[in-house]
Amino acid sequence: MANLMEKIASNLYDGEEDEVAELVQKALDQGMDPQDVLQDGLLAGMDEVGKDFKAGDLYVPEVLIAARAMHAGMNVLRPFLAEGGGTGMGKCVVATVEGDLHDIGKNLVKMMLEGAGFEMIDLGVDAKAETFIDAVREHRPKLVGMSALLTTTMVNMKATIEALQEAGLRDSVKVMVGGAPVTAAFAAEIGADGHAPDAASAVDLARALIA
Amino acid sequence: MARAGLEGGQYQPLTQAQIEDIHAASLKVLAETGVHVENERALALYRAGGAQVDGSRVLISAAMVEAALASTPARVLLAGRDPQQDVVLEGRRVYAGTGGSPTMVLDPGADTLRPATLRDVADMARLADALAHCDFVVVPIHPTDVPEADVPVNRFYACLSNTTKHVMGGVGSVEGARAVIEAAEMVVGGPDALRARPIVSAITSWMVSPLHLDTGVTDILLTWCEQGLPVALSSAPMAGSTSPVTLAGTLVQLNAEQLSGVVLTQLVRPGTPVLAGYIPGVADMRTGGYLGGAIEFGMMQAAAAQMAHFYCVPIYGSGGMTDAKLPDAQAGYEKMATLMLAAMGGCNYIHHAFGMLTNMNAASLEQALIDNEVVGMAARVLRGVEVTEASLAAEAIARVGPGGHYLMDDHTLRFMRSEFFYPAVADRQNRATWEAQGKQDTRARAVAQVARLLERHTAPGLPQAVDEAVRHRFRIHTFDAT
Ligand code: B12
Repeated sequence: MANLMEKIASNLYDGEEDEVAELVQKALDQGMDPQDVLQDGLLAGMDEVGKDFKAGDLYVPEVLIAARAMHAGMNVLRPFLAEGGGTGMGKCVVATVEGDLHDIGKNLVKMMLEGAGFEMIDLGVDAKAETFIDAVREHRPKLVGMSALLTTTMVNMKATIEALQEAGLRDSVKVMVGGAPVTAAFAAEIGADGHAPDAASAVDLARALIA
Repeated sequence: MARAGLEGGQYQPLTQAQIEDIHAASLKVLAETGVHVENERALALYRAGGAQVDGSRVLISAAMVEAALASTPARVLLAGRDPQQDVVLEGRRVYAGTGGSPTMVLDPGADTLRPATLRDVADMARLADALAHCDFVVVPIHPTDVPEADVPVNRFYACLSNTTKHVMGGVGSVEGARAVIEAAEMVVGGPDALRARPIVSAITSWMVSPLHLDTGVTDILLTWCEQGLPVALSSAPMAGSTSPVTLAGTLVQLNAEQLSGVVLTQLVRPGTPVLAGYIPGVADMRTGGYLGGAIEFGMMQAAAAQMAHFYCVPIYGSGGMTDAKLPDAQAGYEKMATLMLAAMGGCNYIHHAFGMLTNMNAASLEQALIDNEVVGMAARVLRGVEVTEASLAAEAIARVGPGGHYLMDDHTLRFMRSEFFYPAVADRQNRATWEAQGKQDTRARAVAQVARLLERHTAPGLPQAVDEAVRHRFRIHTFDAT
């Protein structure tokens, strides 16, 4: 039923959350493979969104609303997906580091990654190293994302990476960092696995890191 | 004699009816949505002042706003160490100066940034001291080579010792606020002298838009107000992400935020000299990023000035920002547009006007020199077309008569220096001369001039005894040339 998949993808693109949920249910009722619904319906739609966002045709609010529709579809689909019931992309813990209250960029990155199928665990702002460690222990994510907007709090990214190391958790996750003052050079220097300058490239980065 | 402070207000994007619509909508926001406050001291003050407090939600009535506005000074003196550098904020008088706390610097001629140092703060302050159109110094940079606890007093020291103009800035923490006040008291000779002639003032970014008070910065705000010194409130929403996407909607929210802040300052200490700090940013809907150079920023800044004039509260605003990465053509037109609109809007205290690039993320000396010209041109516009018996030139026209010329007429000699703005950086030579002199663009010329200017303009410094006392009392870090 290629037609139904296309409908899911295009409704997702338009951010029609109720329709997406209904269509996913319909596909399941018709006996389609949940994995196909995920790949050819939801993720295919989100891919289109990602492309047009990068091309400058879609604006941030449209992407976020499409991501919300993706969620609605996932909520229907999740119980039918194999082990864990996720998209297979895995979990990602994000937060703004200790001492820093800037969260607009972090929230954008979170919503974009969510849209790309990652299961996001948001620790909010002013997150201490211990908070990250507790969350990694509890949720076993593939990725940890840290945000800092102040030069004075960037050092806490390094401290968090060191604390993960000491807790013996560093090798279990990939760490990505971002925020206006953060550069790729700084990311390399503190031993992070990657850096992205904006939310769209954060999605590419996250995909590359878990590949 | 204070600095001139020319009259703005020629550009009025809002009609009187629209001002009243925004006012009414803001009061509704304050009364029905309210602000979120976790700071205990602020909650207690709001409650005592008659606000309806439900948990951390504070609803503010129109009557509270009225009462606060009644005790808010319409005129605020921000003194310079040199009284000739005083700025007096009132009505539609316009002043422009430095500002922003970037932690990165673009070196003269460079295309990549480097971390800022205390030396950069001192250099920019000294340049600001030298620039004719720069009315005040808002601490222009956040140094990265000083331990954070020492930053507030060191930033102010670096500025105060390099300029005799007024110095305003963020003070980092309650301890930072106390240190800055104590140091300033030492400079002017005691607490009373500082209250009489406040040579320093604080910026408090107490509002996390939308409508959410930051607990820590609110502590700084309350501490500063208790001291009876001038304070600038600052809320900087971004239209489209942290405030409504429409210009009118952003103005309503920003206005409500400012009124909630003005109320708080007057509850702490009635009569607190407060500048309503409207910073109407814009979010790039294509990326979510912050835009400083958007034309709508300038439009909203002028509209915000109209709101502040409506309340008779001096306004702290922004102009002359750009999203450009270098002092290039984009920097030129974005800066001119946003600065001119803010100035023609009658915004009293326009910071960010000198030396800022990449919206708020980098500072550049040669850009500050170019900006001096932008502000100078805006000042010429504010001066307007002077129409007097003499300027009408009827006699000169009769004297010269049909077919003559004015080049040698007395009237020309009398007015030619004052009537026109003469730029220092712009190149007005003929092309051949320009080519012969190395075909330099604006930036290259500005780089050369900055070097000359900084060589010539020595730091005013502090009186030796005061300087020693301040250095003895506080951990002052060195920023001397190596
Ligand atoms: C909005 C804002 C605030 C708001 C924050 C509201 C909020 N809920 O976040 C408020 C008013 C609270 C605020 C407070 C302060 N701020 Co502020 N703020 C800004 C401002 C104007 C915009 C930041 C923003 O939201 N940008 C839009 C978002 C979408 O962009 P972004 O954050 O860069 O995120 C993108 C990328 O960086 C990347 N990204 C971000 N995180 C991550 C994470 C990962 C894993 C990845 C891969 C990518 C990634 O993707 C994002 C989306 O594309 C900037 C100026 C500027 N031009 O950046 C100053 C700025 C960051 N603030 C500054 C300062 C100094 C402060 C204060 C100290 C001011 C004061 N004296 O009180 C306080 C500090 C409070 C604290 N302890 O954190 C300075 C920082 C200087 C520095 N580099 O150290 C700046 C640069 C302004 C300036 N020059 O003065 N601020």
